[in-house]
Order: sequence, then C-alpha cells, then structure tokens
Amino acid sequence: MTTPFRRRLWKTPMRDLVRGRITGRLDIDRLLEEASLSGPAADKVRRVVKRTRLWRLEKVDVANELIAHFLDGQEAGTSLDELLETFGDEVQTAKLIRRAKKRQRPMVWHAFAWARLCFLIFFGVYFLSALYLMTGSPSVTTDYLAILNRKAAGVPADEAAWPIYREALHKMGYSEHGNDRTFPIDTHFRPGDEEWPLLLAFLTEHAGALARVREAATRDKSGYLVGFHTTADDAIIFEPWDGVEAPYMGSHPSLMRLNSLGNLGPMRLLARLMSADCARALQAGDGDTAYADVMAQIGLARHTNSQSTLVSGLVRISILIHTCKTTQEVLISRPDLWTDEQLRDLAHRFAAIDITPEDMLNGERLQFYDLLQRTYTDDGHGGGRIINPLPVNSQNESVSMQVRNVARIVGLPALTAMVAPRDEIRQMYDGLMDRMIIESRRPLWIEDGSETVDETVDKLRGSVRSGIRYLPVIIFMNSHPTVRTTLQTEVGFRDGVLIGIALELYKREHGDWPISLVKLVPGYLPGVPVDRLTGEPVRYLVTKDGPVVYSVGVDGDDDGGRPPVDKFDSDFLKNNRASPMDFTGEARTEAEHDGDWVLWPVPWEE
Amino acid sequence: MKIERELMRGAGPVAVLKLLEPGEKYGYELVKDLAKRSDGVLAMGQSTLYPMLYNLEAKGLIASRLDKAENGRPRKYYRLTGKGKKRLAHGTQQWQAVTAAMGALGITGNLQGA
Repeated sequence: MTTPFRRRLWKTPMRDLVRGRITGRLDIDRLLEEASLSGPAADKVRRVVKRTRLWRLEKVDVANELIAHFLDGQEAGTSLDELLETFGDEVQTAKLIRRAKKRQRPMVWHAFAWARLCFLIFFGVYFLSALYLMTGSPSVTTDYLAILNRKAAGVPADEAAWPIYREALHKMGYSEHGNDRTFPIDTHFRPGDEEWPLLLAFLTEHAGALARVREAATRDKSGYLVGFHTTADDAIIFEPWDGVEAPYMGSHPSLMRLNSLGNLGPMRLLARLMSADCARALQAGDGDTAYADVMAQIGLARHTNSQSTLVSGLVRISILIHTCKTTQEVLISRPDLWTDEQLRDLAHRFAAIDITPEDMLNGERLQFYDLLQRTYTDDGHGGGRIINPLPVNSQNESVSMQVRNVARIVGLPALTAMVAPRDEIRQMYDGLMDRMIIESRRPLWIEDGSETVDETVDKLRGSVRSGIRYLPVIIFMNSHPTVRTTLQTEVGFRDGVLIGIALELYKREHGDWPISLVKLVPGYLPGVPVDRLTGEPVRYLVTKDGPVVYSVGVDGDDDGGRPPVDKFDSDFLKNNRASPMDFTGEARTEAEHDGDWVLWPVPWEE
Repeated sequence: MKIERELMRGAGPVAVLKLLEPGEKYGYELVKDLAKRSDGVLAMGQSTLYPMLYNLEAKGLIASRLDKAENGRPRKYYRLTGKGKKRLAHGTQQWQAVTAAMGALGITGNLQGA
C-alpha cells in the first residue's frame, strides 16, 4: 500500500526532515500493516501505545517491541489467544510503560519537569497564601483626623480667626474649585510696577475686608478644621468635596489626602495682601496701618500651622520670612513711621515666635500612624501584617478596585514576606522621628559625631533587603531631613529683623549706629544672636549705606558681608543663598557657595 | 502458582538480570525462559516485562540494541551491562541470604532436611 506523501511527511520526525529524509517512521498503523499482525493483536498494540501518551518516537519504539513480541510468540508456536491472554491489563501496561519510558528521557527534560513541578507547587502555595492573607483586613479604629484637629476643634466659634478670614476672602472674591484658585488680582505687584495701580485700587476697595483680617490675626487660635469634606461654612470659598469614602476604610476619614490642607493657599494669599497693603500704607505715610499689617502677617503665620504638619510648617515659615521682608522695607525706607513703642512691641512679637520641630513633625507622625492602621491588620498587641498596600480614600481613585484587588493577590504574599510587620515598622518610624526631633533642635555647629537620621535612612535605602522591609518608613522620612536646616534659616532671618529693630532704636537714642552689636546688649537685645552656621556671634559692620549684619554662610569664611553673586533660577534658593537651607539645594560648585548670608538688610529678590 | 506482586517486584528484576547473564536475549525469549526455568512461578506477561526492561535500562543495568531477526523483522536485544553484573551479584547474595534464612525457619528447601 502506498502511503500518501502528506501522511508520510506528517509521520516523519523532525530530525529526519532536517536531514532531508521523509521516512514516515512515526506511522504506527503502517508498522502494524507491514508486520501483518492479526486484528485483535494489532488493536491491542494500537490501544496500549496510544494510552502511553509518550512522545511519538517513544511510541514507535514501544509499538515495535510489542509487535515483535506477538510475532516472536506466534513463531514459537504460541497461539494468538494465549499471547493475548498473558498480555496483562492494557491500562496498567500503558501506565507502567509510560512511567518507565519517561525515566529514560534526557536529564534536561527531567530538570525541566522538576522545575515545572516546583513552579506549580510554588504558584499554588503562593496563590493559597494570597487567599489566606486577603481574609485579613485593616482595622481602622482611631480617628487620627480628630486628633489632628483636636486643638482647632476646641476653639469656640466666636473666638476663632478662620471664620473671619473666610468671610474676608469671600468678600474679596476668592474661590477654589479643585486645584483651580480664583482671585481677582495678582498680589505680587509693588509700587513702581505698571500694574500697581490695579492692586492699589483693589486694596482701597476692600479696606473693610482687610481690617477684618487684621482683627482675626489678633485672635489666639485659628479654629480651621482640616479634613476631606468641605464644611457647610467653608463651602462659600471651597468647592464641596464630592468623593465617596471607600467602604472598607471604616468610618474614620483618612489623613492620606491632607497634603493640600485647604487653608494654606488662602492664608498665604492673605499674608501677601497684608504685605501689599503695608507697601500701600508706607507709600501713604500711614505708619499705624503698616504696623498693623506686619502684625497681621505674624498672626497669619501663627494660625497657619495649627495642625503641625510639615507642609503647613513650611508655609508658616514662608509667611514669617516674608514678614521679615515687609518689616525691613519699612525700617529701611521710612523708619520714622513707627514709634519706639511700636518697634519694641514688634520686636517682642518676633522674639516670641516659638519655633520647634514638633510644630512640623507631630502631624506627620499622625499621618503615618493613620497609614499603618489602613495598610496593616491589627493583632491587638501592636503587631499585624501588611494587607492593603494601596490604601484609598474614595472611589474616584484613578486605579480601579479590581486592579487593586489583582495587585493585592499578586503582591500580598511577597509583601508580607518582605515588608516588616506593623510593630516593627512603627518602632522604626518612632525611633527615627524621635531622633529627628532631637537632631532638629541641635544647632548646625554642634555635631556629636553620631549617625544622622538622614544617614540612617540612606543606609536603609541602600540595602535591597532593608529598602523593601522599611519602605513605608523610607517614603515618609524622605522629606523630613529639611526640618533642621529650615528651622535654623527661619531663626536666622528672625534674628536679623530683631537686630534691625534694635539698631534703629539705638540710632534714635544715640544719633548713630553702634560700633559693635555688643552695644545693643542689654538695652535693645538680651544678647548678640549667634551665627546659625558657626555658633559665633553674627558679624557686623557699618558701611556708607548703613549697618550690615551677616552670617559667614555655608562656605564658613567671612566675605565682608557680600552675598553670593551668582543668580539662581530656583525660587527656593534665591533668597536663601548661603543660608542653612542652601545645604539642601542641588549640588553646586565652591564658587557658587562663596559669599555670606546677609541677615540685615537682606538683599531680597522678587 | 502465581506469586504476590510485592514479591515479584523484588524477584523479577534479579531474575531478568540472571537470564541475561549468559548473553543477550529479546523480549519474548525472556518471557519463555522465565516461565520455563521457574516452572511458571516467575512467569510474566508483556504488561510486566517491558516496563521492567525499560526501568532496568533507565538505571543502566541493561542495554539494548535494535537488530533484525532471522526473518528480517526488527527486534530489540537486551544485554547485561557492567553495572548490571554488579547488581546481579549483589542481588544473588541477598536472595541467597534470604533463602538461607527462610530455610533456617523451615520455610524453604531446608524443610526436608529438618
């Protein structure tokens, strides 16, 4: 019988084809036909071979062997019936042959088979682990938002400053929709600018609202409540929050969304308005209003940070530094506008500004605790495993819940194995935060040689194991190393203003600038402020333009009160060059560091 | 007499190795020799023999070659390897020890002498 070409081609092993031969030797039916094996025996061979589920070449080998067995038996005189009877169970035979033949396969195949088995076992165990781990859930038991708002919530409505600020903002046309803020006028204009008349008109038109802001700034507490949901009262300036809490987040709102802290933008705006109004008053020769505007800025700064978070602390510092600038503008151009009493009072207000690292870090700590209770289970003893690595606050999140659930199934067992348990994470975070608070209080010139928090975090980040194990801590601690230098910079600028006020008072009394800052002690200053970078008294000299007070700056050498000459594009650095904050700027050359940090009068740049 | 599967599992391979000791044999020849020389006690069908041969080959105790029979048909012949000879010697010793022990207990040949 002629085997059709296509059939032969199909029944030819690849190795023969590669050699250019079409053998058709995988064709078991052809083998049986050529052997002329009787029907029942051929059928048995065919069934057994098929049941072995071996590779095609192996099947041919087995078929040849079984065919030979039947033929040999018949040639030896054994009847076909007897041969079939002694053959044994077909299914069992196929199973045993398969098992034995597989043992003869190459090592590579065995290695692959083992690898596949191991993978399947691993996958199975991993999947079951994921299912088990997903049975846990975060236990949101503490309302950290309430704790964060505790001080503000205790302020009686008729004593709170925020409702007055809010009303003034509304009257002046402020509104906020999402990230879009609307205000009728740019507050950065100053006398001499082409657009100044526009701002001047605005300030005049809203003199009543500005008076209310000054009044509010004298109040003790802000009373602003941070949170997800816009209160009915705040809705006059803020767009109501339309998000829906994710159901598993519990009844307590999450702090994860508080980065914007709604009042910060409006508070900065009000401070800039006060600064602009001070410039207006200065131009008009209205010393009392200029004084009240500066005092209002100090009050605004104090009210900004009632929740003690890093970002609100930075905004507070920004407002205070701007207040220093406003004060300087008056003292340099029209010192006569302010009475001795006003100057002394202003000095006391500046000196009373309490600057502590806790003001910037306590809120951060609460946010971290809130993160923990939303990402970990709680065993009731402080421990727990990570369960919800992607905590969400609303269904408006860009990543859908389905994607999150898939990510959890895929990632949970690995995360649980690699990320530290809850108590260890909290212990690590608390340890670093406690050290950071101590470190942030320590002046920059005092180094005790111990490892800084920044260095510890760098070490954690530098190791793959600890980098993953303490990932939540590393992410949260990333922004904190600036606290120490930021606070020291704020103190430096504040000291500059205090010295400026003292110099003015001295000159009024003595008719000329003092030959040394020591002359200001104790009548005008309790002591000569120290250079925040060296711990030595700040430097002082009198030029033809007046007195100059300065720190030697980050380069540590005295450049005679000359500020760094280079201009920088960075808004962050342009008024803080050579200051402690300059440490945290981008890597720069020695020449760029060259210069002093001038504290009075500060060469402010817009 | 048909012996228990477990006993056959221990005895079968040694018996096959022993049959291959004089020289190479093909499958049916082994079936016949086993049945004949053991008076049918160790008789086994294809379902037992061929998996056993493949296992012994996988362990390197026997080797096979494909050749043509007298009538020109393909036929596979099995022979003992060096490793197989050692295993046979070891298996023989073990079975002799077992037989002696069984004899001492009056279970095998020594029963008559007891």
